[in-house]
Amino acid sequence: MSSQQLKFIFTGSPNAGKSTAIAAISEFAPVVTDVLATDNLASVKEKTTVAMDFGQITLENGQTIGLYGTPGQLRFKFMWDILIQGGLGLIILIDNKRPDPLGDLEVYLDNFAEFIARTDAVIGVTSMDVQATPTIDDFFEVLSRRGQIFPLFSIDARKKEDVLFLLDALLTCLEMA
Amino acid sequence: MTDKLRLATRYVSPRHLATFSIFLNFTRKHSVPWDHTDVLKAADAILIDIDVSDGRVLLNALAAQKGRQALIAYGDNQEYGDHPADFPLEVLHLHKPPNSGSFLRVLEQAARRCAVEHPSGHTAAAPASSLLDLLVRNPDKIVAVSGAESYIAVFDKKRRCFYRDEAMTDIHGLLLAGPGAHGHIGEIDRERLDEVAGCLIREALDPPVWSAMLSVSNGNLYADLPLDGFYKLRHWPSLYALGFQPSYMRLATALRRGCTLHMLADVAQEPIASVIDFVNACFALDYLEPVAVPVQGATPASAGASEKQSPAVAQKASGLFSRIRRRLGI
Repeated sequence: MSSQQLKFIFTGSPNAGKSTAIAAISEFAPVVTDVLATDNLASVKEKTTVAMDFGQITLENGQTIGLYGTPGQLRFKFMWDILIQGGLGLIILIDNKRPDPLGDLEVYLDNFAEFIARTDAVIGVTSMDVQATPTIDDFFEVLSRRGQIFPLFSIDARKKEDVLFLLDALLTCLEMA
Repeated sequence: MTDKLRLATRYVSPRHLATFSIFLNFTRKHSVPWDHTDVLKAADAILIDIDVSDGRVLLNALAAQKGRQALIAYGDNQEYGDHPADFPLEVLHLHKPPNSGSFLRVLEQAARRCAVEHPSGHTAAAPASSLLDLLVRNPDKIVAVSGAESYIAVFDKKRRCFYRDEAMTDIHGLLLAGPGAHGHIGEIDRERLDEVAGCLIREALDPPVWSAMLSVSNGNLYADLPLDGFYKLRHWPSLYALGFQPSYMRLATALRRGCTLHMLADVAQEPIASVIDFVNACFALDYLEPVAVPVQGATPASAGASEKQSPAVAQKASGLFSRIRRRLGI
């Protein structure tokens, strides 16, 4: 896996569904680097990504596009800077069940700010069927306060059509840039 | 044509008045700017602080007169007067503390109440007076349609939802019907909504408002939206729920950075009528920032990105994205 391979980057809060989203569209079962969660995340999920998830799609001309999922936890931030090299754009997934989903969004917008400025980003909020607040309007308020606007939707990362919808939005933004 | 509109204020503190003066300066570049006046009779709109008891009395009195002036209730006092349930829907509302975005939006609504002719001479084919029109003009109000014995439907635009009686299945028709066609229409407060919501079915408001506006738009700009205005998204349309079309994604993306309608049609490669329909629907759902007059030489949405890619790189990227789309089937 070349660090310069063209790729889409999936990032976001732990347990938001990054690995699941990649699995929904990858042409092979993603390579995952999950280990047992030992910190406070253990109460939320059994395993967590410590390096990256890797999936792939192959285009008609044989070119491969990587689907890279970053570890969600902030202590693996050093991996984010490595993984974004060669990135076409960013998909941010936010778990609405977490204590501060709006704060989570700002973390990823801040930490990927340069990459987003060079490419673009879309945002998917998961688990809104389980936890309805904050609402989509609340997320747009955060973006508005930051002077930003991105495609932002409520999605189910397990559903292929939802993940493809996010990618469609990202591709449209990249095409019209 | 009116070259300037006048705003009078009553019972507003000196501090807030100073803030409003700054906000009024923002309208200098508008097609019809606003100015402040101390003379109530000369005002086109009157802003009254309703957190002051005398202010509430004045507002009630002016509302009862049903004069030509647009009335703006400024504050958060829920008790507008002795009879809050009878308070006219046509009174605009501005919350405290003041911010330029909401202030300018209220002024836009007030300007429409004053029936300002569009500067380009374009006479927008306003939709027939309808419940939809009422909801668009009163985004902060909870509007209830009541039958003989109970509520038929209640619309909470701020929270993007509505509540309906089990028997009411044609919300689209209800939105497009004349205000009195299906029962009495009035405003209720949130406390009353909380009391009755349990007996009604809650649904998302965006899809029916979106489809209703599209069905009456017919390529004509809604009300007094300016044909030469600068339109910009502040809230991405919930395209998944609204009935996705590829053109909508392109239009929303182009509106991200803001542009005029003709620029939008050019960038998104859509007919101007389709662009207008989309903008009308976005406006109806508060997806747009307050419409401004374009700055001379405003560039279309795509211009900024020339900083990101050279034409050769852009063409190569375009081919790559097309191949990705074909591979993913999108």
